[in-house]
Amino acid sequence: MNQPLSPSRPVRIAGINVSRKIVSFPIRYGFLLTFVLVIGVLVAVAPGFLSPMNLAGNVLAEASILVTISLGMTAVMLGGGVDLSVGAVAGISGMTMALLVSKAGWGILAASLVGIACGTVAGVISGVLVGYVGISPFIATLAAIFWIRGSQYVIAATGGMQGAGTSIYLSNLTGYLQQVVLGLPTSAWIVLITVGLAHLSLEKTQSGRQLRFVGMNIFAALYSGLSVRRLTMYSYVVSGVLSSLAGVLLVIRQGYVMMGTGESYLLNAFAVPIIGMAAFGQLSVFGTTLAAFFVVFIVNGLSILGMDISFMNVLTGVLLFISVVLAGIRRRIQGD
Amino acid sequence: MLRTLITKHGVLFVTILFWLACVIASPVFLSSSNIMNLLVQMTVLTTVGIGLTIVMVTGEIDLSYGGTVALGATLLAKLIGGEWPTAWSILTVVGSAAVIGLITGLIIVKMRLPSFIVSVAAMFVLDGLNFAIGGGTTLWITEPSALSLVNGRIGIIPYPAVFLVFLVLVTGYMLERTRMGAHLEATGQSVTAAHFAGLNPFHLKLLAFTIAGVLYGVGTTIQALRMSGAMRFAGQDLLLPVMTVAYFGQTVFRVGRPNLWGTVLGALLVASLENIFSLIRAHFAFVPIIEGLVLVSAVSLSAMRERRIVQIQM
Repeated sequence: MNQPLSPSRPVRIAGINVSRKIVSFPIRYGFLLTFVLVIGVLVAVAPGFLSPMNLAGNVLAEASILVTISLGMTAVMLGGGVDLSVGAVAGISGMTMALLVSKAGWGILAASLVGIACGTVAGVISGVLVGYVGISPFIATLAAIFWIRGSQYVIAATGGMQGAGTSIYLSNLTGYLQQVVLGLPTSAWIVLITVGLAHLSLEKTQSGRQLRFVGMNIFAALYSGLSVRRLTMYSYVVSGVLSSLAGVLLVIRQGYVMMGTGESYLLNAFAVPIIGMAAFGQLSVFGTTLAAFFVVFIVNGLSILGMDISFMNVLTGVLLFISVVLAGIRRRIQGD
Repeated sequence: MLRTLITKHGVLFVTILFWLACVIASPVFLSSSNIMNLLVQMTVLTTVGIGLTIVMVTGEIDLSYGGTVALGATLLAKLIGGEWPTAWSILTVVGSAAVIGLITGLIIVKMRLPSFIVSVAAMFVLDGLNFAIGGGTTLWITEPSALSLVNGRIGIIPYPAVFLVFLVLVTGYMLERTRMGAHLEATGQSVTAAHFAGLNPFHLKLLAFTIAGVLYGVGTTIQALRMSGAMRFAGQDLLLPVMTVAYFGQTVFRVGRPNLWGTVLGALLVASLENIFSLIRAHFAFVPIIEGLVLVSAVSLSAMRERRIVQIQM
């Protein structure tokens, strides 16, 4: 890692010697070029892709969810962890919000705050387990999926939902994300504010920078006198807050909630930061945001073209694979 | 002293206490028919869990079983539905699973990529393939000769239970008593040391991924035949329980290292949890809560001594 760049020495990729100059250009700018190219192709091929209705109603609404939940995962990954419970946290906060609105007649804002508080508690618990008890993040957050799922059953049962297959409908909320405020739909404001706050708290504050340091070298961080345990915990709390916000947005967008809502977002939330990392060389808030938009654009364009939504998983898998290969090559060019 | 005792044997002790509680809570828990049920219930979990454990022993991780299990079940249903002989269908499924394991391993080992991410990507892609082949609906298996493989009995012992004992003995012997098992363990402890000891860690890791593939193939065959068909989410439903079992396994016997006996105990524990909850008719909300609590408390007990923060290498 510490060796200087040596552009003359070829790099071995899958057993073949390739010149460093040839490799480094697509690695540096490949993602941005692909991003522009994909949007260009979609504008040309998919009818109505650029229409305000599609952009505000589908793309931005979907992006607000994916950006938020992936930023939560980014926070944890920055500190060298992983949070498998983001989808489950989204589910429980969404369900709490929906029950408060539909059964207790609460206002949407107050209900959402309570939902986000639930997710924050989940984040605190995972953070304590990883940071203070010393459990592997895999296990702590895997266990979190289980007990969150159980608590979700309890919440649903107290809220009067019968059985596992029922859902609560909140049809009067679905237009909420498309409402135009100060010239932009609400979802756009949510994306802007979330990304801005995440950027400030993860990249600009002292805690954020220290968190990245912990992720890079935990021993160095420890010997520099950083409170590594507190920082690790902080990252899981950020993840809890952001993924529960995503859960609230998801319920508002789809207009109903049922058992297991949100859990399908785990794999995408995991893939998006890594795609962003491959694109920019390191985990970053902007990288994650761009990668989330990239995925949403492609999925939206392909669904306009009539592709089955279930192939979205294959697409994410292929993107994830390309990203991890690219990240590996980039690491080898820079270091080796 | 006490701390070492708790760290090393605490989980085993608590597990035994749990079984005592089960016996007291429900008198039928120890009846021979319920024990047979329990063994059949844990067969798939153990088979796939041992596969994952073998990969984890070499220091990698493999979550691709989430896709392999789904794809294998669909393939099996298609082949048996297409009038293939049962034996050939099963061999094809197990063979394809082995090839999938080999390819995943090749990508990870040869290109030196993080196994966690690559295997998750593989899971996505395989699940998509499964959807493309199976069409997203349940494919039923009705061939009686195939179904009799899991429903038959020797005396009172069902075939899956017989197979389970056989599998645990064979893989246990392979990992704990043969030279190959020691080589796999050495690779997992330190790739560099294994290399300098004259082993080939690359080949050993490939071997582990391939054996794991075979076990996923066997696991999916048993699963599909027990369910009489390939369900759309068969793989995803197995993802978390198998991880639970393998990680629980690290907390007993050889604490901190994935090990086969720990995995088998973990599978037995998870199966008994679900078994006892249905016996005492507990509210279904408690099953996941207790599962999560068991996992966390087991790992906390064994992590008590060091309390260091574990990080994931991306």
